[in-house]
Amino acid sequence: MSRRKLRSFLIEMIIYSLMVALYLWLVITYLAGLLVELFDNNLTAYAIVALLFIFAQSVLLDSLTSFIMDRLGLERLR
Amino acid sequence: MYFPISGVTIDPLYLILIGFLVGILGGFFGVGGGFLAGPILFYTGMPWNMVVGTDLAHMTGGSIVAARRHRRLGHVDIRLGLLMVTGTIVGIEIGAQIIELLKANGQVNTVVGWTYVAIGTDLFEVVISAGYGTLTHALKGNVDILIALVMQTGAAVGAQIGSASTSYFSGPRIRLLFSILPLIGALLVIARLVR
Repeated sequence: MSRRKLRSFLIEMIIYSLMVALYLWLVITYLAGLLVELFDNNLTAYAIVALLFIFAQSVLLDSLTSFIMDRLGLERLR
Repeated sequence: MYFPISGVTIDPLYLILIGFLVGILGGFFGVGGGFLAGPILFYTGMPWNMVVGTDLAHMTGGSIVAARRHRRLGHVDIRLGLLMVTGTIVGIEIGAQIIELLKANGQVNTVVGWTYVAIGTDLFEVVISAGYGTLTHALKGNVDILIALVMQTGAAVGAQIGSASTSYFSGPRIRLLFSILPLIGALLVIARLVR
């Protein structure tokens, strides 16, 4: 890996780590009560919301990182 | 930190670290990493039915991240993955029904601990199969999404690093390293059961 690619990859990981950490904090702080309530009262809604949270964390944040990397003019590892 | 859904207290940093390590291994070896994360979660005192469901939820997220990275690296055969999904989904549903039966008989911790197996060998396939597994286990009340999301925080970053690393190792070396992993998982389960 060239120095330039390594640098881009490290920047990408820092941006991505900050976003997943922020996402987790928001969910734990503001939505944990709702998730527990859904688990206790409506498992179907809980299952759907659980999957949505997982997809949001993995797909949206990755896409958002790509967007930020593009805006910064940094190349993603291919 | 107390997790009210599964009723256990676990340090979130420990979960993030597990997720990170499993994410690196999962991204590097192309597996979900459940054979390792499952026994580690079981070791913390979580009931097996929750371990299986929560682990599948965490695997779904980590696998999506790793599969997206592998796709950018040109490592994904979507047609092959879709073919593999068909059989795996049937297997997951049978497994979930067996766990429900064991829960009803109060034997889930004893039996599942010995028969836990790795799910899938391909990340694209794991995304769909683990996603389905998450849904069916969540419907049966076997998923603690809060624990899964904490683990996924580490796994998402680990999976990116593990996936990117595959470009710098040869195939035979990756296969040799892979052969050790299930043994570590098996040892953790044995340690918890004899404790």
